[in-house]
Amino acid sequence: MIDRVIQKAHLTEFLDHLAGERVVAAPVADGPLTRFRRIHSAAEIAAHYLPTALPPSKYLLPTKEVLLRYRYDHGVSAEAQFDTQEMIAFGVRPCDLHALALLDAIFIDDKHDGHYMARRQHVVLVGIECLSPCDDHCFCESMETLEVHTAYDLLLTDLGEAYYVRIGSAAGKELLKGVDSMREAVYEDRTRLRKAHEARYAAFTPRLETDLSQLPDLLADSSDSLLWDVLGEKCLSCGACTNVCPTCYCFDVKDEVDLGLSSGERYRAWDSCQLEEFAMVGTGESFRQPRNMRVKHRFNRKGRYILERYGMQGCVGCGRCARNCLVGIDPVEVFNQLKGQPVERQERQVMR
Amino acid sequence: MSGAPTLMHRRLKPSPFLPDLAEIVRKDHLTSTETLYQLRLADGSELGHTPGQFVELSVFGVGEAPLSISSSPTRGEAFEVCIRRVGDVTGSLERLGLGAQIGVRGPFGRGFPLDEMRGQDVLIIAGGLGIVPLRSLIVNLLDERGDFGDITVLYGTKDPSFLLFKDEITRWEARDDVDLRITVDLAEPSWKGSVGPVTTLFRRLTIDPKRTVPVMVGPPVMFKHVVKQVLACGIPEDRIILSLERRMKCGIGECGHCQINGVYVCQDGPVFTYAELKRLEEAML
Repeated sequence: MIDRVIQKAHLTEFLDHLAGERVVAAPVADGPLTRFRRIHSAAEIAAHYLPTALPPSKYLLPTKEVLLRYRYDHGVSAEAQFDTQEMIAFGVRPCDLHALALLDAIFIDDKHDGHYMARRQHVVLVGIECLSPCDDHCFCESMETLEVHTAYDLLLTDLGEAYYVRIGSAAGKELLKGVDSMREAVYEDRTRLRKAHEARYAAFTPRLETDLSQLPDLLADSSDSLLWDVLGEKCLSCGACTNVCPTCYCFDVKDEVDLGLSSGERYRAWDSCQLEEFAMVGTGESFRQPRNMRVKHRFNRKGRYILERYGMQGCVGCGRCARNCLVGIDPVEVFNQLKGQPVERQERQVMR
Repeated sequence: MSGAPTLMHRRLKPSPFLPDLAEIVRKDHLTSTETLYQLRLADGSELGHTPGQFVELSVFGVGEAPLSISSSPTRGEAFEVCIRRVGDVTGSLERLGLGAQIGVRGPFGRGFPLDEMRGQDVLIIAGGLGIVPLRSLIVNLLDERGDFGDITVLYGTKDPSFLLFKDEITRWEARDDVDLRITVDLAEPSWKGSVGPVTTLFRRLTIDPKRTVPVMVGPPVMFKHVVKQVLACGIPEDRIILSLERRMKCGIGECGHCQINGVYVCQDGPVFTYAELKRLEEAML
């Protein structure tokens, strides 16, 4: 599809109009944080911001998502629940778009999960490219997620007075029909886009000391590393990292009864592999109780297991886990330390 | 009614979490803590399982729990689960009467490799509740007895009061085409049988390593010892069959609870070969 160029002033007008008619969510400043929130005018959108406190993928897998409603007063009848709220998410960063592409591959292509699909089909994603790093914690360049070619319906790149707009889907093209004034991109615009892309690499310094393709092997070979014990001592098992991670999707399934005691709902709620009970079975055995094992599981999931299963990176380099870790565990430091230390077999110490 | 269209219909649900309804048609108290439930799907269809698979069983208003199927697919439309009261779901099932409706999702997972066992000797090793999924296999083997070589069942439990399926065990003991041996960890002097861990039953057992498929299900501590025993018999690692217990919350490889390294027990298992598991940390504690 032919790319477009929109003057910033026209985009603002368009967003103002759109937010009056439809549900538009965008990053909004909230004290020291930025959150995706419904906006009613473009002025509410945060201009410069760190990645949102919670990634947009958590909208598709909310903290509590009702799966079924049922009645059991005269026999049982159960009905699946689907959320079909239409929404335009504006200002989604490339790292978060990569995370959404991964969730799509898992929940749509592999699992055909109707609950995820219903939400996803009603969300239009307007991405915005990053031309400078968010802060010292982000490492999208190292995870090769700075460039994005999937998941978005529209992708904007800041060219100064205007945005370069790439169209990723029919829904994106449809959305653009509402813009009064824009033009088709010409050769000069493409040159400016290319220069903006080239210029950004000066700002994004590589942080990972391992070649990305070597990361799964590094993790596999580091199974006995003492670093896991060190991290196990340090980690508080609070689960903040998994709560803010755009690719974490583990959940628990629970029931809740209505006050009348004749109906209720079954829902899924976030869960975390960092919590002690996560791998416990009914008869009480826990298969991943030691904290060092739980930490190791998370880093392997991000750097190895997801890639092996779905062919996509399980970590998108957004840096949220590092930014939110109470004891300063940073995935880049972990991967670099594994790279830097010998991996000979050592006597493991188990922490509880 | 033909099973196939109904199964198709079950697979095409937009929500993988919407259960089918099933009715409790029979309850048998096997011990003070275990009850066998016979269930029938409300639409009359068969569950369509293979031995070793599991279902997510739910009590509306309480929750869901993964449970292994204890009946053989050779035994018609009703199916059975044997439940030890340990949690909310299993505890509340106890309070439901005959005719009560519960939810069933599944069957899920990879069952025992029945076809690879045909023509082979089958050595079954059950520890404690491990007999629950293995009963499905044993009954299936006996119903198709001619397809298999020697069938040996070694069953170990805590004490005689914990023995499950006592009536059936008596019938199996009476047959001369199955070698059933039982041991208990502790017993009153009146107990005439063997005392000791399940590995003690290997004594005086003739095993042809070239044609024996060992299948074991039991508590994590049992695997280590029994695997060592069958390896010592000369049986190759890729022919040793184990089934693992995990708390699968979804059954479809999403929720993460049953993950061992990169493996999802709910989909890749619960039945594995020892060769598949031996390099997976956390698989057997």
